[in-house]
Amino acid sequence: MLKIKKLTVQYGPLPALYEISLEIKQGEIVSLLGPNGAGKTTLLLTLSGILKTTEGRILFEGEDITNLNPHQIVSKGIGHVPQGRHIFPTLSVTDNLMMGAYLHRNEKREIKKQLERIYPLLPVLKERAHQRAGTLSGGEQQMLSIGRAMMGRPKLLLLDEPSLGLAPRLMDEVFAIFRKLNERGLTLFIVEQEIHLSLSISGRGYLLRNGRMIKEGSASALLESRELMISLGGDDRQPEKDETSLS
Amino acid sequence: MSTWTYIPQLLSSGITIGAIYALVALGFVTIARASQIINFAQGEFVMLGGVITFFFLKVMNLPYPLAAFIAILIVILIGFVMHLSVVYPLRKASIVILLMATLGASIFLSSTSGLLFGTLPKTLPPFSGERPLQLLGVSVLPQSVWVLISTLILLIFLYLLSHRTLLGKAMEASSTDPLGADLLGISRNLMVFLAFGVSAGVGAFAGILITPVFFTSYSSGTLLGLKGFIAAVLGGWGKNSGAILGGFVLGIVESLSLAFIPAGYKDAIAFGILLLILHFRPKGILGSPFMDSRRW
Ligand SMILES: Nc1ncnc2c1ncn2[C@@H]1O[C@H](COP(=O)(O)OP(=O)(O)OP(=O)(O)O)[C@@H](O)[C@H]1O
Ligand SMILES: [Mg+2]
Repeated sequence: MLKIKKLTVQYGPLPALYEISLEIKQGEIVSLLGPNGAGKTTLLLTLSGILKTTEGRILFEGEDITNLNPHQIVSKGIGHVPQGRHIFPTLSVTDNLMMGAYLHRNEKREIKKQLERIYPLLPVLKERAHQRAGTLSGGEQQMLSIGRAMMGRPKLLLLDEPSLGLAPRLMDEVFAIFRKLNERGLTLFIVEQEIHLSLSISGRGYLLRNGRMIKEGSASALLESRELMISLGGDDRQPEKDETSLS
Repeated sequence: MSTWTYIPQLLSSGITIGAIYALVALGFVTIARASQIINFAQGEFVMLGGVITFFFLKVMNLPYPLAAFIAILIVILIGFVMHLSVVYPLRKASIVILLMATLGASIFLSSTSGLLFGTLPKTLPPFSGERPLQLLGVSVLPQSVWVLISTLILLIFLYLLSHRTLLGKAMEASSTDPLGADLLGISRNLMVFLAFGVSAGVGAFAGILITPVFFTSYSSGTLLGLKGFIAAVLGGWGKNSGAILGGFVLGIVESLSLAFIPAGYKDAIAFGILLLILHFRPKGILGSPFMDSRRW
């Protein structure tokens, strides 16, 4: 469904991503893991057309979408729940959802149907319909950000650290929602630092570090991999070094 | 007679010019909210509204309402063209560069207006009659009433546009969180483009209202623009309500000052107010989403 080939992205002269390749198949949940500053957000923003690539190709459903504008990419069916939520604080919850359906704004009936599909999953969005989004709690804002992206009726949803700042109980709730969305046919690409939670619902995962893809594999293989432990354990030692010498 | 007897009279003319400042300030804020840009050509939109209406009314002999309507459309078009030719190509540039670009556009617009329509000050006839009305013992020009009522109607229209329509909400969304909006397919560039059109239209509208009261010449946009900018800062930079309040406060204070200081110093009042507000309350009367409350 999504294919990335040798993607390089730079901020100024420095590459933040270096020759990244990956593939996501229809119906999958794929995790993208990596420490702070690895380039995860950069990759998602590039997929959504916010950042432009200098080299490499992005294919979505066989079509080249490299460096298209964000609205073209959204209309092709790629939704994005950004890191930090980015809800519209001065608009009501319902208006936020309507913004999610902006590109389909004339399909009133479809919008209503989509709301009916989203409310049972994210009931808080119905309960707080008329509240200003800025007054929602952090968890509720995350639900809103997810619901808002869903209003665009995406085929592929990009999620950037959806667990960030949530209490553990709420994290489980959010990931249960992802699983349900996936059961309904949505493909998910999840950036996470909550490795176990994210891999628990994923079939496969990728490991990014310093802008390079250093490992890919099934969720269970990744969980056992040494690279993952080293990369995310807050430990910067090279795998080759002998750990016992330190004690 | 003491100066106090003039107060009601000054108050009434202060409210009139205050309404104009409010509209100019609103033009500034509309663009600033969409793009963080301070558009120094805002005053030129006002000037062009008056001058182009004059052209269609006096030179082309069109009926007044039609001349005004065409002028507004043309100025909106100028706003769009300014975005496409000046602002959009510089969208990745720093705010300082954009600021200089709008300043350049403002000089270009006023000189071009001087070349095309002449440099002589122009005036438009009042919308209806010149005989002052007596309201509560104060004599008020009918045009002042027109200014106030038209401003009110325009403000209500703008309020409904921005709070009751999907497009207005999309503009709001894009101004409060450009990235969030872009990720939903609400293009920030398109919203800034529209903001330039709205701003230009509001500016032209203000120009048509004020030209019957004051003369408008090719160069009068500069001072009006600065006053509108000061009003926007005074009320709270980046806030619509602040722009409106700031406009009226500035107009009234400026006008009342005439009772106490020579008329020649009137324009200095606005700049005095700007210095005071920047020193004591940089976020303005109603607070600003773009400036913190820190004093320098
Ligand atoms: N706008 C920018 N300009 C310059 N460098 C940037 C910019 N944004 C990010 N970077 C750099 O690019 C690298 C990757 O950043 P990115 O935000 O993609 O990391 P991340 O994996 O999402 O990290 P986190 O887990 O903290 O969100 C970092 O070194 C960061 O400093
Ligand atoms: Mg990130």
